[in-house]
Amino acid sequence: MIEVKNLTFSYGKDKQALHGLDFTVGDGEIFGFLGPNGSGKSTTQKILTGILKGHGGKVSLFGKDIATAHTRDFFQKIGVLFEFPYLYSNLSAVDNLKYFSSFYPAEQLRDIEELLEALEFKRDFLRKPVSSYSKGMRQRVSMARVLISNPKLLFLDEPTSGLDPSGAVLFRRMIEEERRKGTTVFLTTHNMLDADLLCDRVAFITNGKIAALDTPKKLKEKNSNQRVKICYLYQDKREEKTIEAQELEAGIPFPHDEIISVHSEEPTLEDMFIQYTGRGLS
Amino acid sequence: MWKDFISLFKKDCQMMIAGKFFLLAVGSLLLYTLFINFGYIKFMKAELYHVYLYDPLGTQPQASNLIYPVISLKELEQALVTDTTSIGIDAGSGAPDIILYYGSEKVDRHRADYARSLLYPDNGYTAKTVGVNTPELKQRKEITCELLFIEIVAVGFLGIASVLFKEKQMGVIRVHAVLPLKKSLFILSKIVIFLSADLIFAALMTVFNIGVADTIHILPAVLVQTAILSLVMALAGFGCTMVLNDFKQFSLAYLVIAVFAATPVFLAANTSIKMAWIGWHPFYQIYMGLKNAYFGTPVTDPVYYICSACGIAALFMVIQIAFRKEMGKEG
Amino acid sequence: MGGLIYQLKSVRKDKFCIMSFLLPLIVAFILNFIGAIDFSTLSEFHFGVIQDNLPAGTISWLERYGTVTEYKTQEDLIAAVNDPSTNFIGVEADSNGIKTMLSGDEMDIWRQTADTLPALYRDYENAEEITVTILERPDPMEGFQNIFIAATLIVAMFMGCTFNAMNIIEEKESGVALVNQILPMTHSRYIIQKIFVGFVCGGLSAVFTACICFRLSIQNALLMLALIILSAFVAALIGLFIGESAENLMVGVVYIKVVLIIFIAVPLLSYLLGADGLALVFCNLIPSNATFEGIMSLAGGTEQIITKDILILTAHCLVWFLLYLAIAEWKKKNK
Repeated sequence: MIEVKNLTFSYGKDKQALHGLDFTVGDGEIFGFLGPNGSGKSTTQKILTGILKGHGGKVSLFGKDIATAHTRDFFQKIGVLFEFPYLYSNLSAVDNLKYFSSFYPAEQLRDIEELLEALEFKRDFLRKPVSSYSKGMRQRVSMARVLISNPKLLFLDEPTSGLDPSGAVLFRRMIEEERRKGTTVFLTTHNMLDADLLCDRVAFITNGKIAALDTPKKLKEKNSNQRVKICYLYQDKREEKTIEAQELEAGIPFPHDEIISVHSEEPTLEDMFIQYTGRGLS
Repeated sequence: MWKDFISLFKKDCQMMIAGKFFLLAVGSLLLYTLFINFGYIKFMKAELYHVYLYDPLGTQPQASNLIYPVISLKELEQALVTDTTSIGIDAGSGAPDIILYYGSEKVDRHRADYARSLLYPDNGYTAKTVGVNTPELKQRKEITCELLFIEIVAVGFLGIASVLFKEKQMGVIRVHAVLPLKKSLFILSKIVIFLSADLIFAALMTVFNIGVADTIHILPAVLVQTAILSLVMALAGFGCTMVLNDFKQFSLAYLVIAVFAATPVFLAANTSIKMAWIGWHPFYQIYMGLKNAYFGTPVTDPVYYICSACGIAALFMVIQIAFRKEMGKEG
Repeated sequence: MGGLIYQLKSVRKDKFCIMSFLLPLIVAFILNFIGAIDFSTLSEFHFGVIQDNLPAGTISWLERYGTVTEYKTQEDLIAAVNDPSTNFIGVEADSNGIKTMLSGDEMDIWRQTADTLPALYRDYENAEEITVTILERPDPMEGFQNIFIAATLIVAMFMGCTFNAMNIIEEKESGVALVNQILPMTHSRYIIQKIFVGFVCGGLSAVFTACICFRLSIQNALLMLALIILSAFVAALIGLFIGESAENLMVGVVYIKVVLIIFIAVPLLSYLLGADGLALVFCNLIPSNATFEGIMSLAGGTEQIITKDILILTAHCLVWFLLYLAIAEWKKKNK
């Protein structure tokens, strides 16, 4: 679906933003771009969506070179969720969606009210202006704008930003559903939970370079210390012990009355990010 | 493409209605019409100098009835002090002496000669009329032209910028970058809506203040000139919005354009103050084009229209570039 | 009062406020420059003649009254006469005299001139000598200049309104207004802080403008200062109103422009049309009317009526201030 070879981009003489990125995104894959602010995530997304021009290297989308890819047909097949919910504040959710969807072929469109219902948007606010919405509601309408045209390729920038935990769970479920339909998702985020739970593969980007690229599981496994922390009760006292995972094969190797919890000491994606890039996600 | 344009046009109309632009335009039209019909026409009168005669001995029996007689020298002095353009004739000693306050060398000569001629008036000669307008019609056309120019340059320019700044603030320009539509349609729909509004405004303003009968002959030419001005200002407003960061910066630019660009035009076009470079001022050419259209002598020089079209095309191309840059900016 | 320093700092970096502060000063400089330009030629007549149609003596005679422009053909002359930007009087030979032509849309002054011109020409050579006494009068442009100066001073004083309105609107837009609500700051301190910036900046702008435009005696300078202080205070208060009522920056800018137009237009019209009676009472509802009258009195040397203007402005200060307090109190109760 997306093929990027030696992608470079500079905003000016001394502002090199991308230093030769190489990656591919397969059909139906959720691909994550994980990196802090200023790492080049948004620049990469803008180049792929055709907003920024003048890059170096080779990029192809839907099997076509990017130079000729950004036709009307291309924009009909993609959906882009920006970092902030950009909507007409004087129009209602329904009017915003009607407006934005009017540029797509009618047969491609989903039903507006059904989609908003799936996104758990409050019915009372359907016809009220966006200016009266909370951040979460605006994010739902933005997501609806992106999904209404049944895109084949989704560009999502911080999709769960500003959502409460239940909202975040809902959005992840919607993204999973899209993947099940065969939609390819290019996800840029600095939320490691989203990346961990959603992405088939994740690329760590910092200072315009990819520091690591693999599945979240493999990235963690490569650097896991194979240890396990066990929380237990012994003689009415709560205790904790860390042992090697292999020791568990022979059973719990210490006296205990009740096992409360067992946690692997697997590193988080953020831990891995710091390890690979030498800096945090924020 | 037509369907996309209609969607954009509908949305822009909604934005303009929400921004009360049309309401403001109607209000301006009403205000201007009231001003012209009940203010300007009534107050814009300039008579020739008043002449006061002090003739206690009745030595000037043939004096014209345009002369105002006074009964004392003090009254004569008072009249001259109150109206310093007037002329006094003191015939108290028998021979008339002309007294007047200094104006300018040439004008004073005329004033003196005129006052003298009123002492021996003739049988009433009337200059030949070679034009078709009356003084009132001329005043109506002049003020309508000026107010239309101000409306488009100052108000229309502000209107498009305020709509665009709102969209910029909302961030929706970025969304249009990833929609399946020709990006130039976004610019085109705004230009068309403001052009249409300005053309309707010009037509109504002309009809209300000049009258239907006189408007019919001049309206096509007036609308052509209005279209040129409207396109230039709409594109300039669009460009300023793309280039400047916020509405506050725009207010400064607007002040400069509205005051310093328009002021020399009005001075040159309506008084005899003529600056050598005024011919190069684009607003001057457009204003004179509009004024000539109102007076039934529309511009026929093809160079003017070619230059206008080239200017508008160049502005459009520059704005497309600025628009694409704006679409790529961060939120 | 440390807060005041930061308020001033925030305004100091604001290009809009800097421009608003400097604009009246720039205009004042220009007006002083314009005072040196001779505008008397504006009122001279302009005659159009056809080449070789009139004797040289007639053209010299016409040049006594104004400028003469020659045209090749009668069509060219008629076109020049009909040109709406000019008030040309066309002059042609007529037997031993002259005849005139006009477009027909000129004001009375040109029509009457054109009608009487042939008679003047006829009588010119035969006219008996009459003594003409020309009296000195003050610069004819001075009246106009004083009006422009007064309008500029009002704009300068009005800057305080702009400053305050912009300051409050920006606080609203950036969310600082919400922070202000939870600060341990008394309402009176808030008002003083807000008024201070606009009052000082508007007052300063007006003082500098007045210094550029006028050379006043000490007594008149004090009267001018009183006018400036009171007007700047009212303007600053009005800025508070605008800032509180404007939903966003754009709306605020529109309100500021509308108020500025009213502040300038009402006194100008009142002065030019000579408003009296009920009309004058209505005009005095606008604070700048009293300011304008006061400035024109000082400029024209009729300082007697300025006391009335100062009293009107004082009343405005009290009324607007009390109105602001009343509205603030009402808002607090209805929260």
